[in-house]
Amino acid sequence: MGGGHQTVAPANLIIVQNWLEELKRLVPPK
Amino acid sequence: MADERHDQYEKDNAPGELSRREFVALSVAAGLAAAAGSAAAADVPVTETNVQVQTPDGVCDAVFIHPTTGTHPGVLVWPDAFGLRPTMRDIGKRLAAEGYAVLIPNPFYRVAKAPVIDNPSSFNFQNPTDRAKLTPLMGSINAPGAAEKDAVAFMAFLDAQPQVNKAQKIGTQGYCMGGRLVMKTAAAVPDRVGAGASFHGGGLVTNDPDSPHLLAPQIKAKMYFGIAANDDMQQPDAKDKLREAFTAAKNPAEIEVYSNAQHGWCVPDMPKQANGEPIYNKPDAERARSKLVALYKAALA
Repeated sequence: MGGGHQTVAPANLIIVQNWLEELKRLVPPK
Repeated sequence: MADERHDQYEKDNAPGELSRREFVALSVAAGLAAAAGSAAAADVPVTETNVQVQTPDGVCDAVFIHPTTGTHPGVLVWPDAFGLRPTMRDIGKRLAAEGYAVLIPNPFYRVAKAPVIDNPSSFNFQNPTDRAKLTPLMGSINAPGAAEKDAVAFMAFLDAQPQVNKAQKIGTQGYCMGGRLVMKTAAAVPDRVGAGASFHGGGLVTNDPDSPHLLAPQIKAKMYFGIAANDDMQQPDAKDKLREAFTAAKNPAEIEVYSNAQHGWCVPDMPKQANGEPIYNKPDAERARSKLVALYKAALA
C-alpha cells in the first residue's frame, strides 16, 4: 500500500488548545 | 442541542477536571513510526508519526500520516474492533499518499495502548474467550459521550497541524464499529465534518433511543454506507431506515450492499470465515475504496 517514499518525522511537540474552547469553536453555542 | 451539549460537558468537566485546568502542550509526538514494510505505489511521499492526543478522558495514542509537503484535507479514521495496528496504518498511508492528512486513533486508549490484539488474523469470533477480549475495549468507546468527546479532540488535533488545510472540510471513515463512530463524529462536529463513510458498520440502526441513524438530522456531511451481504441478511431493514433517515433530513446518503462481501471485507488482516474463506475481499475492498476517495474528492473540496 501507500507510503513507498515514506519519511520519518522528527519528534515534535504539538499544542492543542483548551478542549472546551475547541468545543465552542467547533460547535458554536446557539 | 448545542447548549445542552455544552452544559453537559461543563458538568462532565467539573471543577478540578480538564475544563478547569489550562491544559496545553497536550499532544506530544511520542515516537517515530517505522515504515510498516508494505510499501507500494504511492502517489506522493508521506510522513508517519506516532502522536498522543489529549482528550477529556485521557491521552490517546494515535498515528498521524500526511504527505510530506503541502497542506491537505484532514481525515479521521475510526478503526474496527481490533483497533490501531499495522493494517490500519497501511490504510492511512495509502490514503495520505493521495493527498490527505490522516489521523488514526487508538479508540480504546481509555483501557489499553495499541495494538490491543496481537494477531487479528488468528482471532476466532466463535471462541468466547477471544470475544471477551473485545468487550471492555468496545465498551470504553461506546460509553455515552465518549466518541463525541473524542471527536472534538481529534478535530482540534487535525486543525492544529500545519499539514491540514483548515479551509477544507474534514472527512471521517470507519470500519465495523467505526461506522457507528463516524456517525457520532459527524453529528458531534457537524460544521467541520464534510464527508463520512461507513464500511461494514455495526450497530448503525438499533431500536434504542440513541441509535446512530437517529442522528441524521444533526449530520451535514455527505454520507456513504457500504453494507456487507451478511449484515444485510441479518438486518435487511437497516439500509432502508438509514436511507429514510437521511432523506428525511434532506441530506440523502449513498447506501450500497456489497452482495459478495462479508462483514470485514475492507480490512486485509481480518481472520478467515468459519468456512475457511478469507473475509478480506480485495476486489470489493478496492471498489469500496474508490467510493471513499470519490466521496472525499467531491465533499472535501
